[in-house]
Amino acid sequence: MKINKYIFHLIIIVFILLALYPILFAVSNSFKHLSDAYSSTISLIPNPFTLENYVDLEDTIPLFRITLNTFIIASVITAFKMVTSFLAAFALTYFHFKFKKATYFLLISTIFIPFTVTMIPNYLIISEFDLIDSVWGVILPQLADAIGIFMLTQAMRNIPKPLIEAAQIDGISTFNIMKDHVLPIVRPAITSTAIWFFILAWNDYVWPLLMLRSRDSYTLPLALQLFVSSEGGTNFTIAMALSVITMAIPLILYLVFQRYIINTFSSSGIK
Amino acid sequence: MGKKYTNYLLLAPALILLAIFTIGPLIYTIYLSFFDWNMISPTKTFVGFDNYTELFQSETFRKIIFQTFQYIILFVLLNTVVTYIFAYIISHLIDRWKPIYKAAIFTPSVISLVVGSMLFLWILNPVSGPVATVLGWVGLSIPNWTVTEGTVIVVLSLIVAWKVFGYNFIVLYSGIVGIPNEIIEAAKLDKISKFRIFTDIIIPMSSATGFYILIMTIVQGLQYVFTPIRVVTQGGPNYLSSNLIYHSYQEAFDLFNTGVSAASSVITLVIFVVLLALQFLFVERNVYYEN
Amino acid sequence: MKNITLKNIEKSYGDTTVIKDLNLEIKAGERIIFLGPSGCGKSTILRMIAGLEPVTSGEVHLGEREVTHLPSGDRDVAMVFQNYALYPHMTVENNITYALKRNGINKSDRQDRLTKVLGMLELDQFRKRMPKDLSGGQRQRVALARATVKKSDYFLLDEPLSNLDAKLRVTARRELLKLHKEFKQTFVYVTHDQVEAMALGDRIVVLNKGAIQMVDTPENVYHHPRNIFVAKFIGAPPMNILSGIIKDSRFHYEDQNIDISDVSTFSGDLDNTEVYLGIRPENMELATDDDYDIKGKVIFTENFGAEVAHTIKIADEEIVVMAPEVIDRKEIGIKFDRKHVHIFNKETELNYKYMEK
Repeated sequence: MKINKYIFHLIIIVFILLALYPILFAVSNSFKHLSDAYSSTISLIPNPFTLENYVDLEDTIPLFRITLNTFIIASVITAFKMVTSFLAAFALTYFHFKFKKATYFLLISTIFIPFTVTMIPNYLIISEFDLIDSVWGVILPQLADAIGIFMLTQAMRNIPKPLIEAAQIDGISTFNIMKDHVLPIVRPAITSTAIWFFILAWNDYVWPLLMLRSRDSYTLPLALQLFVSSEGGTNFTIAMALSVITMAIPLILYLVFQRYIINTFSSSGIK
Repeated sequence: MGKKYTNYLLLAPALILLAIFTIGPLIYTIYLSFFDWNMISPTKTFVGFDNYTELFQSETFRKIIFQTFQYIILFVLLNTVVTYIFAYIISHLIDRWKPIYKAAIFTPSVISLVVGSMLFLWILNPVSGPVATVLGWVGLSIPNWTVTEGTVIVVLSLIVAWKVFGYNFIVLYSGIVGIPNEIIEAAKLDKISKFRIFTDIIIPMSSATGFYILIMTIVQGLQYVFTPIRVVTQGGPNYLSSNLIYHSYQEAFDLFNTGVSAASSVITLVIFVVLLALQFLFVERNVYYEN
Repeated sequence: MKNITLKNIEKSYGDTTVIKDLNLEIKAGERIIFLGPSGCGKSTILRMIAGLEPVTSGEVHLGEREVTHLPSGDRDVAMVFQNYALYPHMTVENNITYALKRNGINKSDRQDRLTKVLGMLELDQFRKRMPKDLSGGQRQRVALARATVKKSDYFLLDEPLSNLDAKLRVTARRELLKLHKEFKQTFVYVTHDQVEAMALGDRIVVLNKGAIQMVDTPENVYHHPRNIFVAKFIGAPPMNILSGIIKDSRFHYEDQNIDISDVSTFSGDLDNTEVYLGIRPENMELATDDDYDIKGKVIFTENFGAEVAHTIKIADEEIVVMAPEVIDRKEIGIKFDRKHVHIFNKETELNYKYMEK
């Protein structure tokens, strides 16, 4: 009995160390000199410790501009997705109308459409607006998201009906019910969904890849791709520094809101 | 509640945006799959089902379909089967440090797949990577996997598994924890083994969640793996790491065969729809297992 | 052989101790009931016997075996859970035989046991149904059947009837007695319902705050409560308790007094002692004439059908007296049946009957 448990703990801990190893690998190498990175691949402690990779990175790519692009894209997308999702979820939870179920079903089914099915037409739309190679071209097709509608509808359905009915009986306007009653209660779901959207947009690769051409309009994942080379090369430690920068924001957000995020996803079952 | 058209007003932004950028494009892609077009030329030539027949007659495309299923099998194995077992171990076979384990296991799920691809490329570098170095001590070596048939698909799937595992784990874990504890206790009291509790009680009773995760793993996994394919191999060597998703991309944006790409996307969509229909049927039939 | 012994059992969660030094001997084949308010630890004790809850210290013996650290599967006990814990994805039949099958009982034996138990519990026509297609009472019987087919010497039941409505509970109680008559297992039954405890128990263990208050037959628990807690917990409405002082063989309460020289537990030693006096509502009579022990004011009455409960205020205390019909008078005298008067120690709250001289 007892021995079994230790074995399970051991398996889990080994597994977690393996899963977290790539993160440690990136962080440690980003603080090594290139020569040390090659001569001591195994060691996770940079010796000597150096910041030169981060300094060099700034000289290689327009780092500030790229980080700013990524931040703008992720923030605008997140804000819009949350607003459109909240309004739609509210309508789908508190109103009764014809084809409500069908509308909900149609919206939710868009979650399962592979991006390849929409990429060509969306590319044509963006080029029609002459927004290729601009952050707005990345943002525009991503202003609404059925996942957000799903998450917030779930959260709203969990609010006891009498709470809203009591407000209605007291003659509170729809807008005020939304603002004063629904919004505060679903705030945890809003927070974690928003953080998740932000992380998704921050990490997004496919659509920016199709949209963005010049380094000045790149996002962090796109910029990172410039450093990929299976043969290695002179940029290895710089690439690690950029990896660390790309990972940092999602990891910090996750660490801060960890409990929120895990709870919300536990109860949802939707990516 | 509210005035007559308030509901439509509230729905409008999401509905219009999704109509323009998802549903409209879906229809237009189906339309494009019947035309020969290079995305630039002002005229499109109607070719009927030619794009589809061309695809199915091509050796490469058949290979790609086959590889797509290889990816699917690997995703299911790594991100459903193994994940299920882990979720069971952590939920029922140990009694301490669960929150820490959950938090740690989820961590890679927040990291960019470009970062992940890049790191795995280095960590598994056959010459100078840490894994090769350690294996070198005991006289073993790793193949040059980026150009090795079969192995390349396994490693690319591993990269995706690394990212997806935590998310699937959390969902399956909560599905398992949702099973009333008394039922597990009743089984323990009746001397049912841990393995049998897993196969006879946990799996059937969390099967709706399990099936959902299975479908999502396939649907999302095939799209996720686009990133490591694009970053690490570009589908190579000789299409050996490509799948349906990557193929659509390549046909459209590398070769400008819009019609062929659209046809390939439509085939992908059909596969997804079939999977979803299966899930829908299954959940409808077994919905009483949970809650 | 089939007895259960609990020795110096302690149970704590972190710093909170829920069971403290509990000792109990459960006889082979008897029906013992753990009765107490919620949170008294009764279910915890049952779960410790079953092995679902580890004991912090002490020993659990099943017959000759010490099972304190044995996993529940190795203890060979059967248990019925409060929410029945049926496997929702298995038919009634499979629910009942599943564990037998996994424990290597051969098919014909399984079928025999199944047929017998289905017959006894009138579940024959439901054998192919899923639990969700059964009523609460049917589910409860399936749970009983599943525990019964194990043919275990120990039958543990954790509030098995609490989810049924009042009428069904009566039928279900009879079924339990029938099962026990047939199999003669050692029955350990947890409930918070005193009627159930009285009806089912050979002996009742009254618990409060993790400690045993009294272990005895239903008869004695009711008529000879060991302390004030038992006196007040058993019986509805509960026993009336008055606080006063004994002088010259009379119990003085405020400005009135009652002669208690006939009370069996009274002795001259108690003169000049502060005590509690307890008497059940049905052991008092409302006097229509001047022959009474104490008098008070009727505040209100509740009609229970067979009897009427009169709530009467005497000085600052309220007591309840049962009478065959409503007596519509403000001031009224009350007569005590001396045979049923209990005297409790003021400090220990123990009935003097149980105090060592």
